[in-house]
Amino acid sequence: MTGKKYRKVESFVALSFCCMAALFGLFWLVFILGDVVVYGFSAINWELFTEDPAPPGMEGGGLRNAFVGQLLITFFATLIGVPIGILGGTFIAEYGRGGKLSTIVSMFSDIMVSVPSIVIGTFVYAILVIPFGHFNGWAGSVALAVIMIPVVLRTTEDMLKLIPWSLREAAFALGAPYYKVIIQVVYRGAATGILTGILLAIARVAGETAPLLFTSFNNSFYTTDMNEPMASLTVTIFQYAMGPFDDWHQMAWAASFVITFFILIVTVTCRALVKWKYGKN
Amino acid sequence: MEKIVIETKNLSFFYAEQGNKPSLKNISLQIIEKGVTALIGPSGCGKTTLLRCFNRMHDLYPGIRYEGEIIFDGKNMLSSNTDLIDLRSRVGMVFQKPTAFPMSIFDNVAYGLKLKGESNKSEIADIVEQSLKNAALWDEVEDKLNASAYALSGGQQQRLVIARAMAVNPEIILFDEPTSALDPISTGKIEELIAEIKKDITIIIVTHNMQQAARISDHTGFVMLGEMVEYGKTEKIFTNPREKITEDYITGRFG
Ligand SMILES: Nc1ncnc2c1ncn2[C@@H]1O[C@H](COP(=O)(O)OP(=O)(O)O)[C@@H](O)[C@H]1O
Ligand SMILES: [Mg+2]
Repeated sequence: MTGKKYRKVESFVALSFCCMAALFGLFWLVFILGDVVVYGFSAINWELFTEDPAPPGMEGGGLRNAFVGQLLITFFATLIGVPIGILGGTFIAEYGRGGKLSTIVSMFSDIMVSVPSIVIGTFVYAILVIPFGHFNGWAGSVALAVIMIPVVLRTTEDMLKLIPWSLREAAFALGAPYYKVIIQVVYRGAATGILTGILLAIARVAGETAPLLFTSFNNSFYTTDMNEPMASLTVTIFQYAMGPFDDWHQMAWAASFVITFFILIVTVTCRALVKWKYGKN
Repeated sequence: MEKIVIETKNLSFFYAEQGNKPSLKNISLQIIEKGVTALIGPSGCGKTTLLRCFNRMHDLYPGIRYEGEIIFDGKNMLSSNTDLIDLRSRVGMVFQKPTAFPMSIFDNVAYGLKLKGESNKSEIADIVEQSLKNAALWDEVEDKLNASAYALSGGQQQRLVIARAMAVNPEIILFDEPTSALDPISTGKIEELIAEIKKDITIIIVTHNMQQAARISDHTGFVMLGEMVEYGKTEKIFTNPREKITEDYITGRFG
């Protein structure tokens, strides 16, 4: 066999393997999403959003408690996690640029990304559940916030570093102090990118179950009190899917559909934002 | 009698990374008020370094060191009690690449005014309009002041940056190779603009383009290896330089 022919065969084999691997992955993805859409969509109805769960074994009811709980927990997680993430990213990219402390913070943030979320759940359980003696919504928010921080921090850092240094110098040259340079010039230039990071972080925590299981746990009653145990979609899906009742399974499918759809929308929005902002170059 | 606006006395400058090796050595020169002073010299000789002393831009970076004096308005601007924010509003700067901010055309020009604490809306609008007119950009942007500055071409952005620098009414504007990233037509416009504003503002411009220095400047300084080899009237430098090496550089024998 000549070298050229050999290379062609080699390339063909490699290509085939790649395609097969891709198809294999795609197959399961379509399978899962297909099921979620088929079972989930048919289980969606108006009561799902307006009514609270019926007592176990009884027909009817909805998941209002879980939708509201999920919203509240995610909202406060965002409120806690995003500012910390943005300030941390700003420190690394601006004030501490190139410094030792910056490197250390950056390294810890990288480690935090890869800490299993259940570990974060147990950690928050130890500091915010045990001392109060009961599960509560705040603990859930804090657990999710801890997961969000490194995501927001890393995107913020990357986006700030994309802003050319000369732009900062130009603002300094007009007599601006550093904090104004950051807020008025750098953040403005990086706004779309940072927003994308925030959305990605929200999408990332929207599907988390383990950290909530240890913190906000669950509540079959409707509550907006963050000091109480609080229902969330993911924990509800977990509980209902494991439960013995057929209509529980139905509702778990419906909740899965809603959450998948939500994450899909957020992710697509992020892609669109990135394409719109950075696609030109 | 010509008035001196900036005078350097034995100015030396050290970058943090360069240790005790000066990047500028004992530079003494007098910048005449109004008009254009050009700094020329081979790349890496210290033109930018010298220019950035005049608004103390170097102070952004830790570990740098000046020696000697720069007298501005009767005081040594290198002294530690100089108010840098005030200094930078009196000595503006325009960079090599256009540095339009990610905001509207109007906000770009108004930026320095707002920094200075100007809050009167109609006053700001008047100054923005006047600055854009002075920068010969008004006709092109009059009806899209709220559009992003990045919608403008490179040459327009550079004139926008000049308008922004002029809006705070500085006494001096420093230009660091302002046309090296521009096409010949945009370059011509910037040169015309400089010829216009030099009537009111002292201009110090770094350029590696000798024809440009000859065309637009009244005084020229030739820098080499961190030293001011020769400084004087542009006419004299270009027709009858004192130093052999200046003549060699100007006639393109090296560089
Ligand atoms: N930030 C810096 N840190 C250390 N050395 C620098 C820095 N900037 C410039 N230099 C050095 O100072 C010398 C003069 O540079 P510069 O003023 O930029 O030259 P020019 O503008 O004439 O091309 C060069 O040798 C360059 O390597
Ligand atoms: Mg230079």
